Amino acid sequence: MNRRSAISRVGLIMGATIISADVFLSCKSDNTQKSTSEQSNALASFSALITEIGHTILPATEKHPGYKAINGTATTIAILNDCYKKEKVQELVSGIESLEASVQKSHNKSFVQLSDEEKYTVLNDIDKKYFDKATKEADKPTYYGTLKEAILLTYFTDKKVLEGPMSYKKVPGKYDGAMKIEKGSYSVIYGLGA
Amino acid sequence: MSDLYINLNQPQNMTYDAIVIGSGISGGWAAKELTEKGLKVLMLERGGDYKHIKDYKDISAYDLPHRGKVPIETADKKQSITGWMSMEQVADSWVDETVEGLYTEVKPFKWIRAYRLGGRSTMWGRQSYRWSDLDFEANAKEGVGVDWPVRYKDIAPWYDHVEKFSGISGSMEGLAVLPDGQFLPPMPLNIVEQHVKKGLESKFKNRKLIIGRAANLTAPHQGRMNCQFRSRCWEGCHFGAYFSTQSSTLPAATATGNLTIGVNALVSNILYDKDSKKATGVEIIDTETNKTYEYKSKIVFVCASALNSSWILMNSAKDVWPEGLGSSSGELGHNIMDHHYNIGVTSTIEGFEEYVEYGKRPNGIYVPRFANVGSDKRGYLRGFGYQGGAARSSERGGRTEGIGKEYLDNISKDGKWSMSLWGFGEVLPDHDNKVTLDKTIKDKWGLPVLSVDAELKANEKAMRKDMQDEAAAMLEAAGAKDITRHDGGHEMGHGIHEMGGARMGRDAKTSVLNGFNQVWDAKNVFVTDGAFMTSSSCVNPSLTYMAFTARAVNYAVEELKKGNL
Repeated sequence: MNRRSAISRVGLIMGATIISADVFLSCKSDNTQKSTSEQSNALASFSALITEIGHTILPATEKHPGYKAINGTATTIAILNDCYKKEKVQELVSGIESLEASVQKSHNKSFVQLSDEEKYTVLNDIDKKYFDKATKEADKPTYYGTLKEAILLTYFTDKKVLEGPMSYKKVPGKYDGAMKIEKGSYSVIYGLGA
Repeated sequence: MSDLYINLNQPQNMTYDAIVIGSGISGGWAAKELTEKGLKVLMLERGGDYKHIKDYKDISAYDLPHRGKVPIETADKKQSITGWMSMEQVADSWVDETVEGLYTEVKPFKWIRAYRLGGRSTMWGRQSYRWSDLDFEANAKEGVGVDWPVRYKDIAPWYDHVEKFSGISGSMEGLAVLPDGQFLPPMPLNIVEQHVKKGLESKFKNRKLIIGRAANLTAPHQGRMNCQFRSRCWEGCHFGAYFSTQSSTLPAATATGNLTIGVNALVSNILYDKDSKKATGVEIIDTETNKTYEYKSKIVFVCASALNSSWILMNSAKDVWPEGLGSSSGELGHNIMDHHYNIGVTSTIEGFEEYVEYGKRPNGIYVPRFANVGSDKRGYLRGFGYQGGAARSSERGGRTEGIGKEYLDNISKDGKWSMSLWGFGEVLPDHDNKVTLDKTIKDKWGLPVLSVDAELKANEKAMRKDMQDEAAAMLEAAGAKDITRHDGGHEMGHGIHEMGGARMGRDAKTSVLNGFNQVWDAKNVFVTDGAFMTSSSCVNPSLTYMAFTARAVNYAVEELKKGNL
């Protein structure tokens, strides 16, 4: 039964708990769409590619294990496949296919076979284009934005990342509204938020 | 404890002193007060069991298959829920709107419900504010709806009573529009909220920014632990640190030995005897076996939530009144209200970057109503309050430019401080905003579903512009930058503060209930959830339901003793 045509995605505060804007992007559809999980998982075949994209956006650093080390690709795919409507998943599939095709054309090999520097250059261009306000809506690599969000969600909710660089505190025990920190300190993550 | 729950399939004791329909905030309070006064009580809940602590979640984000996002399959069954409600870890708390929670809409209406023991007391926002006479007198002064048969002095002792037990943290402010209560120590404002408070209050002399008054314990209270600042109340609090039926009223009621609970017990109608002009009990459907049973009692407390209580009354005593019990006034199901919100302002506050919050405070700030207060006059009636707060922003959502090592390092740090104000506005009672029984659609038990026909009217629409303008002006006064206005529009019900349908009044011709929540047409039936509300004020309503419920129980038991019921 479809009673709704639109939902609001403006961040709101119930009972005045402040939640970062990220969590408000629930993946609720605007209309009744069959979950793609009922179909074959359209993204599964891009697993290796998504791992490399994640690795390029979030590489290992001195403090961070990096996307590859958390083995999060299956989770990223589950998020994309189950929580986005069919059209969005298809947009992802064709977006990733077009990325692969353009790399084949320019480098004569697959994205996964590129060096880390080459991967960085390719994705950095796409990232810039996606966030550039001058990019026309029709030329925007929308699939990339969706993928980036799912990769970051996977990463910053990962056990290794939360308990490592992000100093996850499941039960803070107290509240201090003015705790001093050293410049450059990473956030402390509480609750379920990323 | 083993005989706390009734076995619906082997019913033995079918007679009680009192039946309470519903186990949410109002039902829990009714059960506590009635059992503590020595009555044998049967509390009926249409949903399943939900046990304190045992049934709560104890998870981290990485335990969730979609890390907090909700699969489309789930979202399609629960189309009313958005935002925090629709997160993966709490989505299962809400009713499936395509099966058990089926309803129809004439105009868009979000009907957000938790069908399980404890109801929405397990999922509420915990903001707890008293009404003042500004609210109780408004209808009479402005000629809107009908006059409340109650004034602040009547309900103030009952606010005391329920606050002392529930544990409300808050600050004493001495404000006429928002009376102080029996508070536990307030939660602190964070450093940026203090800064905004200073700027806002120095520019606007009649306005205050205070910490929210929340039913979250800031000190051990009534055998419950204080808040651990996880801000995960909705997943269930193992510390019992916020008020819910499970943490508070149910243990108290159970301790008396006078409470029996029936879960999966959907009350389809109140049994009414036209000779004595009283209710004799209720009829239920066991939702697991689809069998029906009758339970008898001397009094019935209807606490099924505003719209469902109206629905039960509409399905009752139809042989006497075709439109149901309490319909003789023509007001049953009418005057449906909510609080309109989803409108406000976000901003950036420069500086303070050497400070962060430690812990997650399950509470924000509150700006009490100032519109149409004292000499302040607006082009619309009533007013609004603001909730919101300051927090460090984060770019970890992936919505900013960048990739690679430096990017990862940057987004791992806290962003600038953001400060938001979100308005909560009063909705006037309007006869045209109503619920009726849908003539064509029946639910899985063959019962007529509710059809909702309610919308914001001219007064609310006029107020909304002001809600946004004033928020922007206050943040500007506090030196905020990047002030961004938001208006997501408001569909009725979205405030999850649905009220009205069986309003209180001073005479039987224009209202469903008298000043003690007693149905004019059946004096041993009391309706004490949001249905009784004669107007809506702009403050969160639950504390007021608690106070009126306790007051109604006190009255009912006195009347029972006098032989009047």
